[in-house]
Amino acid sequence: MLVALAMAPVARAGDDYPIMSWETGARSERFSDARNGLQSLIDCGFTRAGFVLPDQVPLCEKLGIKAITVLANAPIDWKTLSDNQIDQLVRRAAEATRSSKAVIGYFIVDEPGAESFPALAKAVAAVKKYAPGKLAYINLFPEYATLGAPNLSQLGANSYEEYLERFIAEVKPQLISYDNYQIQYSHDQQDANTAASYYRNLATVRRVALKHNLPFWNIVSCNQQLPQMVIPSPANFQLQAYTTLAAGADGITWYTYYACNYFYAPIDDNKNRTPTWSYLKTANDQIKVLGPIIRKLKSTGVYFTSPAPAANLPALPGELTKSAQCETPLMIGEFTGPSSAKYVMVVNLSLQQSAKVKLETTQKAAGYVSPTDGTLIPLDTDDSLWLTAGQGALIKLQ
Amino acid sequence: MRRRMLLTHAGLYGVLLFTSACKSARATATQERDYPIMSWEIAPRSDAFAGSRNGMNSLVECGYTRIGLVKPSQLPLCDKLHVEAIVCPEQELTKNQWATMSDQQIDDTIRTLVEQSKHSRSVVGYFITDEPHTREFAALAKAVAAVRKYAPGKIAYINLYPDYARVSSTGPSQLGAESYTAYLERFVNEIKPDLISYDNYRIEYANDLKTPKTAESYFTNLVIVRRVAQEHNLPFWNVTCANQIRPYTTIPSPANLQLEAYTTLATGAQCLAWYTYYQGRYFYMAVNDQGNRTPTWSYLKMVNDQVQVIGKVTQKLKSTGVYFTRPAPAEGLPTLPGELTEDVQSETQIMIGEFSGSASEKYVLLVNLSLAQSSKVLLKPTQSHHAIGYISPVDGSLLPLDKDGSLWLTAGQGALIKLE
Repeated sequence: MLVALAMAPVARAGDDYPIMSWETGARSERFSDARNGLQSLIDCGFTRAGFVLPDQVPLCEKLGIKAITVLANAPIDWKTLSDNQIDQLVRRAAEATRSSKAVIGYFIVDEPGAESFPALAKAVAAVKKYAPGKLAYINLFPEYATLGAPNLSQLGANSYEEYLERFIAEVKPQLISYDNYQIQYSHDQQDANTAASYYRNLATVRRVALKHNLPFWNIVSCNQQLPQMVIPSPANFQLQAYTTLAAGADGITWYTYYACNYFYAPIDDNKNRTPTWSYLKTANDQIKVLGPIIRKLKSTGVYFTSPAPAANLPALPGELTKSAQCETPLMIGEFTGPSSAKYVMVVNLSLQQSAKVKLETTQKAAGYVSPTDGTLIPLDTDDSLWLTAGQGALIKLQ
Repeated sequence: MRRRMLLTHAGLYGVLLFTSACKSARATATQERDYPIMSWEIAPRSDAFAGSRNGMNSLVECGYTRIGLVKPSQLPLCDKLHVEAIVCPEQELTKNQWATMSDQQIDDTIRTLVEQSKHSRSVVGYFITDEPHTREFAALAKAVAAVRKYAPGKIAYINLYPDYARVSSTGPSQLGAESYTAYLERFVNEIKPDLISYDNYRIEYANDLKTPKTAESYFTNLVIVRRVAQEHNLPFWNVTCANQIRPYTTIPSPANLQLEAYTTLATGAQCLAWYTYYQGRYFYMAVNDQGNRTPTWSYLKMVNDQVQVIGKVTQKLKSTGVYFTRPAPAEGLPTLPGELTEDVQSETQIMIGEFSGSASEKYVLLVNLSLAQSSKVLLKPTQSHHAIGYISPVDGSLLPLDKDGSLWLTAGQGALIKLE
């Protein structure tokens, strides 16, 4: 717990909100492309490049974007390495890049089972030792990974919550990162049971992260992962972005920027920008405005209107929000800030329609923060506001 | 009449000109230029153009390529920002005012306006009036002639009523004609305009198409104006909605802004105008009365940026047909097959615009008419053609279709498919 408290600021460093790409292998190489390489990522509103190759660090420095770098020989099966091998591997990477202001951390592994946790603990400790202030980045499975014994399951744990708790207890991470693509897998929530996982996972990770005073990052989908799945849209981008913000996540990551084996990604295999690029830039530009405000606040509660999108999710009333009137389901994130400032972020969970929303809050709403320029915009004369499909609004209370 | 005016107050201008005297403008229009995306602001909203915060420069940033309607005193700002402008008098004329003027007064009014703006390189046309009754047409014809006389090559801009304005048979008439088509025909024949511009906000009034009967008007109006414009070899412009037009109507969204933009492009319209950019007495527009940017600004920029890319391609093409999948959104609209399109398979209704280019290139613009869902769309071209890809609305490159020749479209999205 004390370690977690000490390490959390590493992931929270910087004034901007982390909006990260999630590229590995051949996709990472594309950052070096003259056409739609790393500069295009910045144009698209990303604030973190993940994951860059060591030789791309100078480009990150030149373009002024923060990055998480991959280690040599990635992907690495850490549990097969000796303690010395782990130490040396991290030391070499740290020595090469730790002086770079662009490098904020190192990619350790993606979706480890619990059986890898002891080795990962050593890798994380080595990063703290050789590159203090940098992040040892590990991404966890979503809750729909298989449960059970280490040799028979993906998680290697009896429950998802146990998986998270063991990760924190054994690895002593600086943040919790996980991925969940069930908004698209549920065909834009038309399959409500599949979509329920998205919300349940977000609520579970938030709860565990808050319990251990750790920040958490949410990885969501910005491509068509399978040909039969729905494609990225302005609505499902907004929904994924705004629910992430409403839960108080400290960062959002989009999977993937480059196509390779996926479809309808922002940049296709011919290095061209697709319509997805345009939608993603619009969502990212909004996150860039609201994210830094939310980062300074404390997430005090997350609630849903009834019926909630998954069983056992907290329903209104909350601490600040007594009730909500709306044709569509809503998610409500509550926040407190410096000088007792209070905010409520309300998200229209419909991907099909705009809706008029009226909240009854403990204090009168002063307005909502414009996701375009950060100014305070008044609510309608009856204290309601309209939200487009998937849109969120950060309402400031008086 | 007054009430109707409040409902549909809007307008826009054109580039390709009707008479031989305006051939220079037509030549200019065929050069590599931006697709006209115009604001539709009159005083007091247009006063905000001069604002230091979210003034005219913010429109350019939001993807607009033409500013309407600009006062002569605001033209230096247009010149500085290299953006084209439609100019209106410093003291805007009241409704019906042209009809009360003598011939000399009409001539003097236009001459003065042209004189006041002669030093600006930004001027592409002059605003004459919005939503006129047919009784005003005689006077307006003189105003249009005066623009040709004093500013050859510039546009005389008049915006017409939508098809839901009242006709003679239903009480006091707004149109002053027995039908909407008759209104358009009389406009063309009596005024000899440079273009046909009209406004229609039925997508929002239909609560994002949830009231199909109300939404019908949007599509029928578009098709009627296109047909009349083509019959008279005139360009046409569509003024669509970028605000919450009434407190009870739905708000601008990525989906409905896309739908309005792409249906406009699919019919071969030569300009898209958005009503309104500034608040005035509306809601959820791009910039509010405090001079702040709302979420609508963000959506509008996204769509305008796409229109700039696709419009640059479609404006060089000839619109050869417009079709709909069955059931079409309104009775009497043309359904497939078209000349280039045998069939389109989709869970949602699709609008199809067909185009040909000067080098015999062929394009089809498909629009997903659902505002609620994305859809996988499979185009089956006629026998002699096959689809080779679609134009990226971001960088203009040719993107491949899916392996089965289909592509997905988000709610309201369009795709310009190139055929071989």
